[in-house]
Amino acid sequence: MALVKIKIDGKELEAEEGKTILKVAQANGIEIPTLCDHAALLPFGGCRLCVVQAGPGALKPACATPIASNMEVVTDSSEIREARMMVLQLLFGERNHYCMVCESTGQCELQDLGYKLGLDHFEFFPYEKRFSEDVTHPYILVDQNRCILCRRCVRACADVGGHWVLGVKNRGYESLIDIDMDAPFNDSSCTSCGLCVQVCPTGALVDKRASYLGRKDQADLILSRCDRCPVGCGLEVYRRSNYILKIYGDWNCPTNGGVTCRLSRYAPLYDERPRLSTPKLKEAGVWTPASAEKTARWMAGKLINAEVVVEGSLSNEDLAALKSLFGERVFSLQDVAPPLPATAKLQDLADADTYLVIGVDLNREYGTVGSLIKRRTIPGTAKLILVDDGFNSLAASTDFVFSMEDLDSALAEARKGRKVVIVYSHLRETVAEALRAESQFLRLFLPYESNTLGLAQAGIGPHIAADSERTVFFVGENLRDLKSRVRGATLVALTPFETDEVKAADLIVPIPAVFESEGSFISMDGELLRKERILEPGEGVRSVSAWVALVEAQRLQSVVAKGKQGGSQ
Amino acid sequence: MLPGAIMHVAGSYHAAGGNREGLIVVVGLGSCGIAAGGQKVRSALIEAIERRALPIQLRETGCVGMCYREVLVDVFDPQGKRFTYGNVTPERVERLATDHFESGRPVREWLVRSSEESLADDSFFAKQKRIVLRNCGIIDPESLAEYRARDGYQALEKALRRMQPEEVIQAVRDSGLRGRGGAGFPTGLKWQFARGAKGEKKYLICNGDEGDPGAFMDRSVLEGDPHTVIEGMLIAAYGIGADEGYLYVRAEYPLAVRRLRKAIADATMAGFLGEHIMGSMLTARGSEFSFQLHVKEGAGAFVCGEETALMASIEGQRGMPRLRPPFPATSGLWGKPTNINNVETYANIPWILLHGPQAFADLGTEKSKGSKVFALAGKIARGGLVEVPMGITIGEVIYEIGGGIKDGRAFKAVQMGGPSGGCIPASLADTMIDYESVTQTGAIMGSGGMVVLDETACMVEIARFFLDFTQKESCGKCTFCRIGTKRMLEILTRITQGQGQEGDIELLYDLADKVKTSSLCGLGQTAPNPVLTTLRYFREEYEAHIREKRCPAHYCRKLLVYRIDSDLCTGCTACARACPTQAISGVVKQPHLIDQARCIQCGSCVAKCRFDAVKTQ
Ligand SMILES: Cc1cc2nc3c(=O)[nH]c(=O)nc-3n(C[C@H](O)[C@H](O)[C@H](O)COP(=O)(O)O)c2cc1C
Ligand code: SF4
Ligand code: SF4
Ligand code: SF4
Ligand code: SF4
Ligand code: SF4
Ligand code: FES
Repeated sequence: MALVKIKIDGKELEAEEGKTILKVAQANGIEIPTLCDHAALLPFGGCRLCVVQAGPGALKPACATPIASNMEVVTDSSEIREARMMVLQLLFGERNHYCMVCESTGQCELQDLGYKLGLDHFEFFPYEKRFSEDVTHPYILVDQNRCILCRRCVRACADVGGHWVLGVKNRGYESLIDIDMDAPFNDSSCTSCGLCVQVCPTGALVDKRASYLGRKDQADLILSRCDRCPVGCGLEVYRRSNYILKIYGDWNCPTNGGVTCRLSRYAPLYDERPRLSTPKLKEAGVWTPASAEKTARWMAGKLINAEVVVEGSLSNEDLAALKSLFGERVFSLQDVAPPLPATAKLQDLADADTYLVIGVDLNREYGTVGSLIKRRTIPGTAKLILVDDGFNSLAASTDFVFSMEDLDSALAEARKGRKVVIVYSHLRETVAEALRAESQFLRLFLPYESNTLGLAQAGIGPHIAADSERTVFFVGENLRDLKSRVRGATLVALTPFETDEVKAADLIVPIPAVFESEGSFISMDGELLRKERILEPGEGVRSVSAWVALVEAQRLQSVVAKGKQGGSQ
Repeated sequence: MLPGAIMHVAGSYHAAGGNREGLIVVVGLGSCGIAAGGQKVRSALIEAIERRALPIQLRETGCVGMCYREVLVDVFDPQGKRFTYGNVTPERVERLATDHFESGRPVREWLVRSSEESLADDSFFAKQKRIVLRNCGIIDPESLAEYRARDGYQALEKALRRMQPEEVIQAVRDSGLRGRGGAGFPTGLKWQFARGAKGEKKYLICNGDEGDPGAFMDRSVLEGDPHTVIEGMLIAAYGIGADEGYLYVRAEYPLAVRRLRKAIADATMAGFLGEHIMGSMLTARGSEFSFQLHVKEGAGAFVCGEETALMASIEGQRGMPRLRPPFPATSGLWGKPTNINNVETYANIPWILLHGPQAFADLGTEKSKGSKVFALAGKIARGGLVEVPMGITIGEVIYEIGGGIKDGRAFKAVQMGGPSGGCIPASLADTMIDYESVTQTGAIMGSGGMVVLDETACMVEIARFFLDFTQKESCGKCTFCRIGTKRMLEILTRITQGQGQEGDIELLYDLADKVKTSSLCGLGQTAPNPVLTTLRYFREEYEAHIREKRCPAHYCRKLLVYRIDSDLCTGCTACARACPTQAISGVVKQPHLIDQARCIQCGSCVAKCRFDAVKTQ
């Protein structure tokens, strides 16, 4: 784009034609107050707070007005200040904005603007009418009484998240945020991605869990990566002393650009499974707490011929530690190898015109991949073809739904595309065979677990269930069906949770839960990502590496002891 | 003197297939005619004609404009004589049939117009100049043959046969035609932008949303002469290079939709629409011109008439205005270059091409050319649809065409431009009707609503009425329009209820100024106009309401003082029994008295008194 000369507040500047006045001003350190605008969203131009004088005639919204050659912009004058003050007066008086009883006080953009622009009284009689609340959603509270109708939530849900759950109903003064055409939030198609809450400038959308626990500015911000799936979305985690206030998507992260899903933002914070806080040993059928030393000694005594089976969420560091202890006898609970080798990366989703999604419900897992696809297919920019048997919530967002049996028709539809990306995880052999033939399609493999690629790189393959007398160690947070995997063996479970499932083991050993450990993993794009430790685990809890070190020490001790014994004989 | 329209009709007798024997009887079945009972009159006519087995052709036409005389029935005889009956009822049909149809004796006392004599209603037409309405009320809108008999589709043929697209645009530029949808943007220039816009695919839209309360100009054209609009669109499409178009019609206009659908089907059959338009008729340059036309029924909101909201609505989204730029000419419907014009704008096009741009430019003022259709309503003697040359004065329209104010009352103001417009006081009756002069008064030309107000109108209430409309129609997107209009409305409401406070006028000005300058779309930017104009010309009425708690027009019920005229009161006690607060006291057969402290201005006593003794002031 061509560079043009403009003047802002008398300052001569050069900028790209077509950029908005706001963007140019910001780039040059000139501040213009905004409210409905949001850096991650398209300009909307609704609130009119950012009005400036740009050329003759009416004031124009800086956020939505492109610059033109020789434009002269004035960002501050008494007329502009009056107009902005009137916007605040009108907004404050439209609904209930008694800040002292609002969860958002101190972290509200409307309130901040009130202070900044010097609002010192209410011009209009405030709050004459009650608007509805919706408290049905497990994580999000909607309070229309605090909504300023900036539609950031609507735009984020649709244009960024690709979910199109939110809208606006009624006209004018009666306008209200609408969920799936009047559904209770909990019965709606909301995927709980949390984007709407993240962008809402006021107390109209509230994270239930964070409410009344403190403000963002009282918390530490830690940038981390989500390890709930191999996408590895960038996260902003807000921590206050030793609890997590809220989790936002990181707008600046190249992987997800701010989008996240329920699994990162809410699921771990609402995990109600009982924590295992100290090792427990089953002695004569009774669970007895054991000291760290006793536990390590016990484990060290079982190492001969033992093997370890891990979940694919373990970090590279934990895997390396386990390998140092178990050598080649480290196995994976899940498959590791893709049914078809991947040929695409996440960024290929950005300009494809056809997506062939096979057997994955992207609203429930790999949520960010779902967003990247749906935000292009629902408005019709690209086509979504879904192949699945049984329920898949993606079916509601496309007309092209086929059963596995009808794969041929789906492929025929896909062949009409110019750039086609197949998105898949597990595949039946026959399906994989059929897809292999379509070499012109790009293949985006969704690894089964967050560090599946790390396991593969470490040469860890799937565990084969067997009857045996060996000792088998299991490591992970979702351990299930232990007995059926290895009958007759002695079982050890290293896990954060004390569920009934893990009690099939003979020894259970506490390790950190999701936010309590740091480490690296390899994302689906093959990048080495790092997850930060946010919280301190309880006293009895040790990381996998720490347990390995203790066991190793005990083993050495016993070797030394044995050596001593042998020597004296 | 034969008014122009009548002479045309004389010709159309033959065009419409009239033979030398029988009469042709035409019933006005526009929405106004139907509302006045046109269908019943038509049934009665059929019955009467069939019973007598007369060789009469019964036809239908759209609105001729004399809405104050509906139901209208025209009778043409083979000699080209025309007799127009007004206020026809089914009961009158019998006498018409016996006297006129059977015996050839027109019923003179029911005639409102005639080619044989001049009647009072002729003046309704004398100053009109009918371009857009040239066929309305004359041809059967459902007959392509009748349209063609009146030069229909000849302008299209001329364009396709003899003109390059650029020449078509030049002709429209030369004519000086400006958009009739409200803002008055030069039509030729708009077409040129769309033609010059980059893109293979271009769209053309006709805006027939017509959401102003009381406006029915576009409806009358769509119902009365649908082919003219289609032909205008075709010529525009050829000019800018569009191959697909939408006619967006207000959902409350089922008759217009039905007639348009029929007209589109007929035009397609005849080769005027679809692929290779007029291919077989044009030999010189085999037509490469194709055009698909869809009818889209509106979403029912006033703001959907705003062009960007309208396009969102066609795309199946919520009808909410979008930011401009980009303008539709570069990025409109589905992001493609799009030209959008009003119904009336398109309806002018065939005439301009056939008669030449100069003929059009000869009419009107320096910057406003041609004619303009108005819907004349309110306290006017002859309300209806009129088309006048630009440059005529408001006074001429009201007095000479509209016959002055109803019931001999005094002319107070005229509200022009609907809710986006304003009130022009009687003192400015000499204002010329052209875009600039009207805008200067604070009103706007708008799409053509003209509501005439007499001395009984309270100007605060008028402002409140229009603002109530826009406030409810605000789409809710931007702060000023959504909340600002609501606050203004609250202030106006409290003023009319006697709760006005010092400072209210200043607050109104402050809000109006900001809503006007800082709203996103035309709805908000014009919403304060009725308030601003009434404040400008009738400020003392506001002040009387606020300071003296008095409504000078005696309209605002809460501000009336009720008194009993002791000369007229018979002491019947009816009022006292009706009063909900027992504010009226008195002895039977003695004059009664109202206790002002108790009176709540409910008006029950006025309604009950049979002697007209309760007076308000
Ligand atoms: C709130 C609002 C309502 C409008 N309603 C109509 C309408 O009903 N019909 C119309 O032709 N133009 C309407 N317009 C104007 C259109 O936006 C547009 O300017 C017009 O259709 C252009 O046609 P023209 O150039 O032929 O006038 C409206 C504008 C606004 C702001
Ligand atoms: S939403 Fe903001 S302005 Fe409104 S009450 Fe809450 S803190 Fe105050
Ligand atoms: S949580 Fe996500 S999907 Fe649900 S409404 Fe908010 S933005 Fe939309
Ligand atoms: S809920 Fe929040 S983000 Fe959504 S419109 Fe209201 S204030 Fe804006
Ligand atoms: S998509 Fe995956 S990485 Fe991203 S937030 Fe969801 S679970 Fe975490
Ligand atoms: S001015 Fe009114 S109608 Fe127009 S966009 Fe703003 S709120 Fe909507
Ligand atoms: S920030 Fe520009 S209009 Fe809201």
